[in-house]
Amino acid sequence: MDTLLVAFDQVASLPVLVALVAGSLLGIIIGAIPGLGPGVAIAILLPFTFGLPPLIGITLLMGIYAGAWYGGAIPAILINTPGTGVSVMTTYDGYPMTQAGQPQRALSLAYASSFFGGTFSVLVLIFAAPLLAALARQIGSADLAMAAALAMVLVVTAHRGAELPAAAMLGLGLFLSTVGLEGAYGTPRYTFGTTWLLAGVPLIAIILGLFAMSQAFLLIASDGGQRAAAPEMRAGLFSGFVEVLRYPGTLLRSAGFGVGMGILPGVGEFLAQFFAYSTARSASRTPELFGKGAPEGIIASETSNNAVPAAALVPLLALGIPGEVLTAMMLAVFTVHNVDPGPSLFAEHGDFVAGLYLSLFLMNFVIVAILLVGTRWIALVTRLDDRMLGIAVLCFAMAGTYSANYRITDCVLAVGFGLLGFALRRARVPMVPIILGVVLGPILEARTRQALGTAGGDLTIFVTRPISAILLAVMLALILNSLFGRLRARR
Amino acid sequence: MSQDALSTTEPRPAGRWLFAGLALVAGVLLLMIGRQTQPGFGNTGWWNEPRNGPLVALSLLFVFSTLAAIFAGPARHDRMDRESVLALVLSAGFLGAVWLIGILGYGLSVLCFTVFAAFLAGFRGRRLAWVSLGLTLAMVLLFREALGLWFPRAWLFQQAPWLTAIGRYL
Repeated sequence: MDTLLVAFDQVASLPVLVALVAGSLLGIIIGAIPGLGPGVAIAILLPFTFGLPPLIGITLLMGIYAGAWYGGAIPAILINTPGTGVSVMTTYDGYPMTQAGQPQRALSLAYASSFFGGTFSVLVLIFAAPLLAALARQIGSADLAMAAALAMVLVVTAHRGAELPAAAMLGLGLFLSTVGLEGAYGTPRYTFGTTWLLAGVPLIAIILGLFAMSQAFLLIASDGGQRAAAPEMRAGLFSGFVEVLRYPGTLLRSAGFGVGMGILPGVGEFLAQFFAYSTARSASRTPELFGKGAPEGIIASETSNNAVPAAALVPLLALGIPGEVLTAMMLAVFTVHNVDPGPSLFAEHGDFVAGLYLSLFLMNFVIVAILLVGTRWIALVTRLDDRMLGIAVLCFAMAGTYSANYRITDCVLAVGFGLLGFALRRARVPMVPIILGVVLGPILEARTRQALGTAGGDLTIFVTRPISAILLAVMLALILNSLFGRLRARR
Repeated sequence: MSQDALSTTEPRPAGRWLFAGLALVAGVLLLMIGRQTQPGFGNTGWWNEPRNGPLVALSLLFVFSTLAAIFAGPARHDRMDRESVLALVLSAGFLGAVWLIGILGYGLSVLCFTVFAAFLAGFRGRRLAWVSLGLTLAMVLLFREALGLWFPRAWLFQQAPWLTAIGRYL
C-alpha cells in the first residue's frame, strides 16, 4: 500500500503526466507513419531528455516506445502497410478484415490485444524485476561480466543468417566504447591526440547517425511513398475489448511469448510475434482463416509485440544490462542522472521505481484513450510524404547533435555514422549490435577488471562461481548451436 | 498465408566491400595499438592494462569483418548510385548548415538546409517553398520557442541592434 502511495506521489505531478500523454501521443503518431519507428523518435528526443528528471525522461521515451507499437497497427490494418517493423504480421489478418468492410473491428481487436499485452507485461515487470534484483544482490562482478557477455552473444545469435556481420558490428560497438580516457589509469585510448575524443565517442552522435540520419537519407531518396488512402473511419472501436475475451488462450499464450522474448536480450518483438502467431494458428479451431482475417491472428500479433516493451525493462532495471537497442538508449538517461540501474536501484531509488511502474501501467490506459478518440485523425498521417519526413528527421538530428555539446565535431561524427548506417541498411546488415556493444562494453570491461582483481588475475573465477559458470555454459551452447546450424544450412 | 511468410530468416546480408573496408580499418587500428594506448603503471595486474579492451574489440571486428566479407551475399544494384550520391550531398549540406549556425543563426540555417534538401528530394516551385518554410517554422517554434534551446549568438545578429532583436527568435 505504501509503495502504491509513493507511486501516486511520484506520478501525480504535471510534468510526469504531460510526459505520459505527450510520449504516448507522439509514439502513436510515429508508429502510424510508415517508414519511421520508435528508434528514430527516441534517438531524436534522447538529447533533450537529458535535461529532464529521470522519471519524466524515461516516461516520455517509454511512451514513444509503447505508443509506437500500438500506432503501428493503424496503417497495417487500414492500408496494408506496417507502420513499424513489428506490425508486419498484423497486416496478414488486419487488412483482409478491412477489405471485408470491418476496419473498426480489426482496429478494435488490435487495440484491445495491445492493451492486454501491455498491462500484462507491466505486471510481470512489477513482480519479476525486484525478484531478479534480489537475486542479483547475491551475484558478483564475474557473474555480471558473464551476463553482459551473454547479452552480446544472444544479440549476435538472434540475427539468424547474419551472425558474422552482427558479430563484426558488435566488435565495432565495443571498439567505439573504448575510445577516450579509460577507467583504470585515466590514459587516453585511440584519441589520435585530439581533446574532443577524450570523453569518448558521443553516444548521441552514434545513435542519431545510425538510426535517424541513415533512415532520413533513404526516405529522401524514395519516391515519396505514394500509398493508398485509408478507408473512412466511423465510431465503434469498443467491440474488440469484448471480442478478445473469447480467445483467452491466444491472449495469454501471446502475452507469455512477448514477456519471455522481451526479457531475453536481443530477441524482442519479431520472434515473439512469430512464435505467438504460429502457435495461435496451430491451436486454432479454424487455422484455414489465418491470413484471411482471423481475429486470433490480430490478437496473437498485437498482444505479443505490446508485451515486449515493459518486459524489456526487467534486465535493465534489475541487472543494469539492456537487452535491446531502445532500452540501451534509455540507459543513457539513467547514466546522465547518476541513477545506476541494477540491484541497488530498488533500495536507493525505490520511489523512482514505483513511479515508473505506475506510469507504465497508466500509459496503456492513456494510449487506448487517445486511440479510441483520435484514430480517425491519426490515420491521416499515413498520407505524409516520405521525403518530407526525411527532411524533418534531418532537421531534428541537426538540433539534437549540435545542441548536445555545441561542437561541430559531434555533427561530423553523426554524419559519419549516418553514412555508415545508410550503407549498413542497404546491405541489410544489423545495426543493433553496434549500440549494444557501445553500451555493454564499459560494463563488461569494468566488471571483468573487478572480477579478475578480486581473483588476483585467475581466469578460473568465471568457471568456479556457479552463476558465472552457468551463464558461460549457456553462452558456449548458443555459439555452438549457431555454428552447427550454419554448417547444417550450408550442407 | 504461406509458410514462407512466417520465415524469420532474412536475406543474406551483402556489403562485401563495406566489410573488407572495416577489416582493413580494424587491421590498421590494431597495428596502431602501441601508439594509441599507453601501458598501465604501478603493476596493478595484467587485467587492468588499458590496451586489453581495444585489443579484444578490434580483434573481433577484424576477424568477423573478414569472414563477413568472404561470406557476403550478392549486392543489390538498383538505384544504388543515385541514393549514395544523394546521401553524400545531403551530408555535406547538413554540415554546411551546422557551420552556418554561427553565421546566420539557427532559423536561417535550417531554412537554407530545408530548401537545399527539398530541392534534392525533387520538390519544385510552390511545393518546395511550402515544405521548406513549413518545416523551418515548425523547427524554430519547437526548438527556439517551446523548448527554449540555446544557440550561440550568430555573426549576422551582431551587425545591428534591430538584427539582435530578431536574432532572439531565430
